Amino acid sequence: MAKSERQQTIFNVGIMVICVVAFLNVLVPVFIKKPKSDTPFDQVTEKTLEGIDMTNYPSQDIQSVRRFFQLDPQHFDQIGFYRTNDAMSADELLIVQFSDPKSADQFKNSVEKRIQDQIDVYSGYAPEQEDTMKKAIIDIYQNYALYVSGPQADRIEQNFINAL
Amino acid sequence: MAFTNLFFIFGYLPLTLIGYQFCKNQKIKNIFLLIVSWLFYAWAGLPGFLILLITTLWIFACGKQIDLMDQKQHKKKSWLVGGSIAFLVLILFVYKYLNVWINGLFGLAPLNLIMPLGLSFYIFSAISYLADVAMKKTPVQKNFLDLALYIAFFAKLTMGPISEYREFKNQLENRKLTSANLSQGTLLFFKGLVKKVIFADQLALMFASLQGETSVVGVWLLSLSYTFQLYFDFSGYSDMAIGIGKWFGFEIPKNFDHPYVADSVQNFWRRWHISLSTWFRDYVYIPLGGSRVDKNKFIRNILVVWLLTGIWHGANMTYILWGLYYGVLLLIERFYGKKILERLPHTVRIVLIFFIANFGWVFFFSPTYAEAFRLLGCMFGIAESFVNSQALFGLSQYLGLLLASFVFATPVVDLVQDRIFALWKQKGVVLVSVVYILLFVACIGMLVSSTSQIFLYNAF
Repeated sequence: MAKSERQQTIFNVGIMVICVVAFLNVLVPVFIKKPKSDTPFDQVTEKTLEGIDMTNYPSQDIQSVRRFFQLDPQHFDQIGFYRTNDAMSADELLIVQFSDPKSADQFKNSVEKRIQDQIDVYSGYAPEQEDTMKKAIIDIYQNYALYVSGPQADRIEQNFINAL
Repeated sequence: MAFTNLFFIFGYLPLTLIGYQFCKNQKIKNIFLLIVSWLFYAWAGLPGFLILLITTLWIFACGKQIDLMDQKQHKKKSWLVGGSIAFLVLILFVYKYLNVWINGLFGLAPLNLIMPLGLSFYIFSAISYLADVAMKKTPVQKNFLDLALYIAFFAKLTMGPISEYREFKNQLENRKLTSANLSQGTLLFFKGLVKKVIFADQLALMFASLQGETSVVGVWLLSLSYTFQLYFDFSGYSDMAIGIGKWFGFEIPKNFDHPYVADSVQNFWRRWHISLSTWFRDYVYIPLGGSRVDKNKFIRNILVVWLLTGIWHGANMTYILWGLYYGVLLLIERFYGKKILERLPHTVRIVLIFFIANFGWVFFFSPTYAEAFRLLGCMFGIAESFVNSQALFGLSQYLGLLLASFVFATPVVDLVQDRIFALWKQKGVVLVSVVYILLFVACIGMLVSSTSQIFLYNAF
């Protein structure tokens, strides 16, 4: 093969490799992202709360998410928020449904801040609550997200995953 | 950005036309068109644009490498050609079929894969380029920008017509914009807009109002509304695409030729989505041997082409059934039907083929084949009732539209137009222009009032 032909081949093969790598880069995140669920919100909520002791999770007004998480309810299609009005209770449960991927980012940022703020509040004088907040769970899918803290957090998360 | 988007009609298109006129030479015109085409496509989202870019770079590199290989490297060349086409098919498979097939076959949750706009169309254009270079039907394109324009030209990118590279190539290098092109382009664009907004979109409302029908008359109205909606929607888009192409000096081949006046199944497919059937003929049917093989291989070739045609339209079993429906009909027509058809009066043949097409579309719009067979059963009397209140309401609301659809789906409008031009000459041109301008204003009014629907073939 002449030198110029070799150089052209290297160039062409180089572009082909770039194309394959670029395609994989576009594709791989799709496979590692959690999928979308077609299950209606009411059904997801019902199944998530199935068998759960709701004593520490009374339902709150949707506008409360503004107070507790600085989240705008308008950015979500559906919201379910559960916690007592007792400031010493670290048990919280928030389930949201959304269409815009940006809402997922907002949810994550706000909840992480909430968890950290609560850890800071409980630190030094309420070790049990601090520990509860440190074990809090955030689970985000394509169109649903869950935040839960409390002794039943693992079970609630499993119910949520099954519900989707 | 759809062709019926008001920003497209009053913003993007006029600005593109004006900018194009300021381009001094062919090279700059092509670069300008490429940039505006890429902007047009990127409007729908960057991930889709990335796939378009990857496809273009891929065929550019593969085409050059295929061309570089001489005859002594026949085996390596075959592998390269096969591999390069396989990668394009893989892209199409991942975005169009993976979700449906993994969900349907394995019950796995669907992935968040949004099919890039026009993927089915431009992947086929890309395969056309590689095949034409490999078969030495055209020299390799060494100018990346010209090749990118062939793939991305906004007039045909999202819904075709699928231009074969060897036909498009000469126009990339040498095309002229004449006053005839401008006037014909404008006429076609207006005609396409009327077909889409006045006919297709209103037929869409008729179709939606008859969903869930269980009476004989209701299901017939449902199928007829879809039959005409699909035709006016897709042929309207194609007219607009061809018209836009003419504005920039491109001659994009006709994609529809009044298919509902076809007098045989074969003739129907020479009139419906012509660019797709031409593509399958040139890149699948003929390479398999076409009709120049023994009977068994000929049957195989026809069934392969029509199976692939069905699959191209979608992953659902209904599309595959629809494709095989035509494959089997074409075989029956070829071996037994021709003599029978020739004995029938021409009008009867047209009506027969129209109903064959109508029945075929039932598979097209049905979500499952069970639903398709249920609807076909209703059409032949296996229904809850002959007519019900929903069907009567549909008939009273849309009978005029349906009758107009029958008329306007035939060549009668073109014939009347040609007659007016021939008899009245300049006055005829003015009259027809005034009619089209009034219709254009009516279309804009309907678009502004948001009664417009998305183009149906966007889904493919």
